[in-house]
Amino acid sequence: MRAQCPPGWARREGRGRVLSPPRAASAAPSGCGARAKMAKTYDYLFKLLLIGDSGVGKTCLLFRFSEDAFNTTFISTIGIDFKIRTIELDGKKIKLQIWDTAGQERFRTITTAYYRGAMGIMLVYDITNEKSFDNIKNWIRNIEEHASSDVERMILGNKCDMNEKRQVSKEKGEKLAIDYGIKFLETSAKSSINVEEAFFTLARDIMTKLNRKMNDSSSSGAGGPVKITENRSKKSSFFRCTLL
Amino acid sequence: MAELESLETAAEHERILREIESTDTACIGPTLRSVYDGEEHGRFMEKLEARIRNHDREIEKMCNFHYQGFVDSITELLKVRGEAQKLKNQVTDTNRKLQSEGKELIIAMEELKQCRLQQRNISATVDKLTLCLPVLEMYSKLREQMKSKRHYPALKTLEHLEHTYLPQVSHYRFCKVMVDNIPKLREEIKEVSMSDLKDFLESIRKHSDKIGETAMKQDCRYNQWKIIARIFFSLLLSPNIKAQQQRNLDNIVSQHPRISGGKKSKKEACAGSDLEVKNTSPMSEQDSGILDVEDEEEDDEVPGAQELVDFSPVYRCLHIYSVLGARETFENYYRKQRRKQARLVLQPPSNMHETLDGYRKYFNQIVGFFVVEDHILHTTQGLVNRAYIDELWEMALSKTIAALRTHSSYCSDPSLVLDLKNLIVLFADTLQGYGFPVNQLFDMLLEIQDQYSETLLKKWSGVFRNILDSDNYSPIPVTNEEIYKKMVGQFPFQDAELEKQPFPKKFPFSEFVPKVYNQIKEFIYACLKFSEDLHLSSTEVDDMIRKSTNLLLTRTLSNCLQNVIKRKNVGLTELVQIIINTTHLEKSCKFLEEFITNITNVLPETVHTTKLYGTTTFKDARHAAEEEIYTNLNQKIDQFLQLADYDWMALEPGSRASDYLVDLIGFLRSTFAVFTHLPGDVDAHSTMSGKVAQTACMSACKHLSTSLMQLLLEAEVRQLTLGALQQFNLDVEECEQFARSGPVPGFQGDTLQLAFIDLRQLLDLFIQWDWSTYLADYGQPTCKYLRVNPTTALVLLEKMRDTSRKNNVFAQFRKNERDKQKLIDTVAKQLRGLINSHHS
Repeated sequence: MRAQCPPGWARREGRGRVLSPPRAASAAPSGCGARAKMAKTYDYLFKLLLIGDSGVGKTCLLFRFSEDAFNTTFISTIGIDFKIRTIELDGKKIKLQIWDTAGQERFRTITTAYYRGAMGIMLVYDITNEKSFDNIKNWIRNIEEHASSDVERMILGNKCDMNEKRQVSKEKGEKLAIDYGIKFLETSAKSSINVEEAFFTLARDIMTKLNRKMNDSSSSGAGGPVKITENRSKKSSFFRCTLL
Repeated sequence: MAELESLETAAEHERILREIESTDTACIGPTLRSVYDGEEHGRFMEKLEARIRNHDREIEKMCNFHYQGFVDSITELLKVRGEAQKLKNQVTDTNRKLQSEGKELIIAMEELKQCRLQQRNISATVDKLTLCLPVLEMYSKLREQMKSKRHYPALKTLEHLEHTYLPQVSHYRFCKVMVDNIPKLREEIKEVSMSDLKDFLESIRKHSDKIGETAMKQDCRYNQWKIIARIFFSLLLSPNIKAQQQRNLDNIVSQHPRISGGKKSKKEACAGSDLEVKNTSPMSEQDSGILDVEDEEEDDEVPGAQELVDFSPVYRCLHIYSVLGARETFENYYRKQRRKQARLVLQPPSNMHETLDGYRKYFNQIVGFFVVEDHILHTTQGLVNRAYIDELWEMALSKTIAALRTHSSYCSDPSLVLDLKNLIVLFADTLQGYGFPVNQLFDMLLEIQDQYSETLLKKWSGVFRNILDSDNYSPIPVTNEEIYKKMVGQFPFQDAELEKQPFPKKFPFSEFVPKVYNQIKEFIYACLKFSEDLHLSSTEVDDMIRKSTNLLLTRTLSNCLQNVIKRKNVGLTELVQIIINTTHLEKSCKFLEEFITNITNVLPETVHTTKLYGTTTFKDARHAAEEEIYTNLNQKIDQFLQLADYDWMALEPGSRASDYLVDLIGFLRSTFAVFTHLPGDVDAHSTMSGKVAQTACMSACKHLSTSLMQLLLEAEVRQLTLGALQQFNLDVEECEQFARSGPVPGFQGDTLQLAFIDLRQLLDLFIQWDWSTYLADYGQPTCKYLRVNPTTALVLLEKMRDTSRKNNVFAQFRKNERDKQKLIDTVAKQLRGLINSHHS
């Protein structure tokens, strides 16, 4: 993928730091038209969504993943919130914009609006709360109703540090995931177990799907609701060619 | 002639004859000489012969005359001679008889003489012995006294011995030995009594702790009686006591003066009061607590200082020394030693601040020391004097205060500070009872009070932090009347509308409101506790409480709130709830005022009381929270803008607004929707108040607008195409659409839309290429592009000109392009002119 990148790309590595060699290249008179493109801090933007019953620990998972911190007090999310974290996969900078939804029923209308744009959805339940596990089925139905059909999904059984209060066995969770053909992990935001793994797995799955799609449709017509930046740059180089 | 001569010779012979007759024969010589010298010897011889015959005749005549008488006498004498013989025999006989008779007598007399001598000797010995015996007795008594350590009597004895007895018998050798011994004995007594004194000093050093404790206990007990008396009186005064009880109480109260004296009556009183206090007074728990303490202590008698320590060594030693005339030495020694001890006692142990016991020991020792000194002062004459004690006390005060100052500063536990304060009060009261001035201690207590409130503030800072950290920042749900009532009891909240709603309903505020409110009250109580027993007026107490509470509100609580607000990752939820909560807390301030007034009994209008500054604290917190909401939203907007991904060289715009912006607008829309119309809450307090929402929305729009403008004018974007500008325009239109849609109620007309006016006019100008209008109307108030700054316009124009220049080679072939280029040049020139004229 990187080979396709135009030579004049001033790609930012890290925050605001511009590597000088590509910059020098872009300053050359033969520099391509993409020079005017905004300096970007990432290669891909993946939008992820966290759903699940109220109190299963969606916000905590996100907090752990984005800030590597944990807060014991439960403050229920109102409406919707998001966090952005940039990760690197196969040498690509990927911005994960993770939307954290309120689990409470009363915010359902607001939260379902975010399903459509999501490329990956985390279904979270609480292993100490059977009801939240049972509701996963409802949440999956919800996804089928509102999200795009090719959205990547994953089931997370959170709070696995509280084994003594466990109500849902790991096997049960695994079985459910297999039934739906979805990946499954037990996580703990508090003890920082499998949180990174979960998000990285989901991101990798999206990435794989994306690559497959691009290989399938060799033309630049790929897109859908997902904005893929690589496509853009391709596009711009294409335009330059026509101009020439 | 011859006849005359013969006459003369005859006279001379006459004279010589007379001379021979009258003188001694020895002296006849010279007379005879004169005879021999004359010539008439023969005549003289005749004369002399005549004279001798004269005298012989005369003798013969005389003998003839006395002869008879002589014969008679001889015969008579012969007769007497026989008689005399007879008498002589008789006398010899008598003498012989007498001699034999007298011999016996002489023997008896001899014996008598011997006896007499013995008797005299004995009586003389007895006399001497009676003189010596008391001396010996005294001496043995002295020895005895010395042995039994009764040194003072020993000394008296010694004196007696020396001055009364010994002089009388000084010539004996043993006396001399005694006399020689006396100074040694004195010295010995001195030493022994001094060593006794040393023992005593050591023992009071050891016991001063206990003495102090006892003294404090007595004082404490006295105070407890005061409290009990107070409770009795308050019970008496309370109107709802039955007559019977009142009578009982009367009895007890009237007994009271006696109570403090006799232990037995005390016990009765306690028993009585226990009965009374039950279920009548709200303070009954407290009371029985005190009474329990009483009961426990009932059994062990509290001994006085003199009962704990035997002072006799001092008195004795003092007597001994004064008798020995070394009173001054003794006084000096005693004072010096005691001063040393005082210094030791006043040296606080380094770990004193760790426990209350450490302080207690310290105080006990000091109290003990002064109780002993006081006792000495009152029981001896001048061993110690007021000045000396005052001086010691002065030193003690300054050292104690210094020690307390340093040690109390280590203390971070308010309950320990409080205990310490009680201890100091007891300490001060006890010593005051002994007549020492303790004002400085009370002054120092005021300092400790500051420290106490500091530690309280520190403690409460933790308490508030915990409350704020553990809060869930969501309205408190109430499911039934009971919980509702309970909550209203905890926190002054009244809302007629909420009252009417059916259960389940929600209070607008979250848990932290009642918790914080109650903690403020707790704090006030804690403050009040310190002022007890400080002999402060209620105004002072009121003032102190208000000051501390103000510190709590303006510093501690304020900081805690600010910390929560400024915390990283604080959510909008929390911020909105904080705004609501602080509103309610602000309203509760006046109840806090009332609360303080109630407990101090100082009416706010009567004195120059300090007002509580709570309102400002909560207002500030609210403003900070509001500010934080704005920043928070702006940060979210920034995060979206970082996802912005404009292709500034696009020839054609896309069909719709950029993805990131659609997301951004969607986020803002839902956020404002959620916060202005939280479902299920009708109460106005429970939502973001209208004004905050409006300001937040306005601030978000403004921030978005300026950020977009920056994006457009960013130096890194060297050139951009019209297509890109049109895409950008689409995005701005999306924003305007959002502004128009009224995401937050209450905006008048297109107020919100005005946030984007600069962008709008700039974009209009460029998309419509309306330079003539812009340049013609520039500076006029009615100008269509009033908000377009020529500098901004120039920057953007340069970027667009760059695009044209880029394709210069090809542009040359197109007349149209060339004209366009010229137009741009002209406009740029004009703009520069405007900028310059502006500058000049």
